Amino acid sequence: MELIQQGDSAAFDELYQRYSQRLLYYFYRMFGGDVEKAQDFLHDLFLKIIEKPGQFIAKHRFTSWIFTVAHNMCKNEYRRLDVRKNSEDKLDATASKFDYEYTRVEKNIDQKIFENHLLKELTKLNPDYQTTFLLRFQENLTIKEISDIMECSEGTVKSRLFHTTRKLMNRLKEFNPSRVEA
Amino acid sequence: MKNVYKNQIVKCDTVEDLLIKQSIEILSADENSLLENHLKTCVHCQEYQNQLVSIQSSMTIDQKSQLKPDPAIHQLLKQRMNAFKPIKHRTVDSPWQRFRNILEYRIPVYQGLIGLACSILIFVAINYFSLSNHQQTRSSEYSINMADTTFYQINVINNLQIIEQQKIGRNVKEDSLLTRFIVSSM
Ligand SMILES: [Zn+2]
Repeated sequence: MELIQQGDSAAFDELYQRYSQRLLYYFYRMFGGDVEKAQDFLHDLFLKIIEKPGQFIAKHRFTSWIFTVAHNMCKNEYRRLDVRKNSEDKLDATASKFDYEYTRVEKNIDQKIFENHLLKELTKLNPDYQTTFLLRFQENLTIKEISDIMECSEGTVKSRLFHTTRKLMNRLKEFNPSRVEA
Repeated sequence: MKNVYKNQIVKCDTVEDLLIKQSIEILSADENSLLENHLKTCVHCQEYQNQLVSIQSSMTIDQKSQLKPDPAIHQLLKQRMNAFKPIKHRTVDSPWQRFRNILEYRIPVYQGLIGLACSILIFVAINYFSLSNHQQTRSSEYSINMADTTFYQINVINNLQIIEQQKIGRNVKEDSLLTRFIVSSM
């Protein structure tokens, strides 16, 4: 990051290679499968890095910093759209954007349907809960790292993860591709 | 916690919660053994565990996925970066070129400063070469005011008055030049 502050384009390339896809997935999942919006947000986020590299505080881990910025961007966008106030219909409409072609190619159709429903259910949750869940299971960050990013206690992170997982489990009972009726 | 689960029929709800908890943090030894024993016989909870694993693992990013950052974004960002951070390795400019570069700055700070310096020079030059009688009087008053402050200055002013009485200059202009010289050397 310091090299980027000095205008080192090779350092920027490396950073982009390392984080661009992860952040694209993050935005894609946060914005109900809207690929175009996810690409736009990815661009805007890296533009922030180029134009205001001084915002990065070196004592923080870069992953923590970049996901803090990404999460704040999502929250602002949610606020702007006032998604939370809108009806379930709107959420269903956005969630339907999840496209089969972007899910894992080698999986069978049932698994793809399952994953699309999972992401659809995820977007119905509060953005703080969504981000917590994605940071844990997409980014594989520790509870401590997530609590730093979300600026909350580790207990809150655990409780958010617990409630998000249970909600998803309840809503996705009928979509388990490997489910065997007892 | 130790005796809570012992010798009691554990409900599947409790095990479901424990399974979720297990995916988030490390369970105690008692909780673990309870889970293991229950899962050996309960198909429902085995299924629950499978689904839990599939939900959480489907969040990982597949490198084979077709969802990739648009290559145009990287290009745009690189262009932006080059525009934002100009190449530092430039040849050393001649002093004249540097001066011209300064004048080419968009922010008119240097032009302003140069303009201000020129105005001051012109003002000083006009004052220096064309002092009127009025100005002479004013400068004398000024020097007297200044002279109030210190002993040395009073001395100088007394001398100045003597010189003035003796009319050392040939005309008003010369007088004023001499007066200025004396005052400025105080
Ligand atoms: Zn059970």
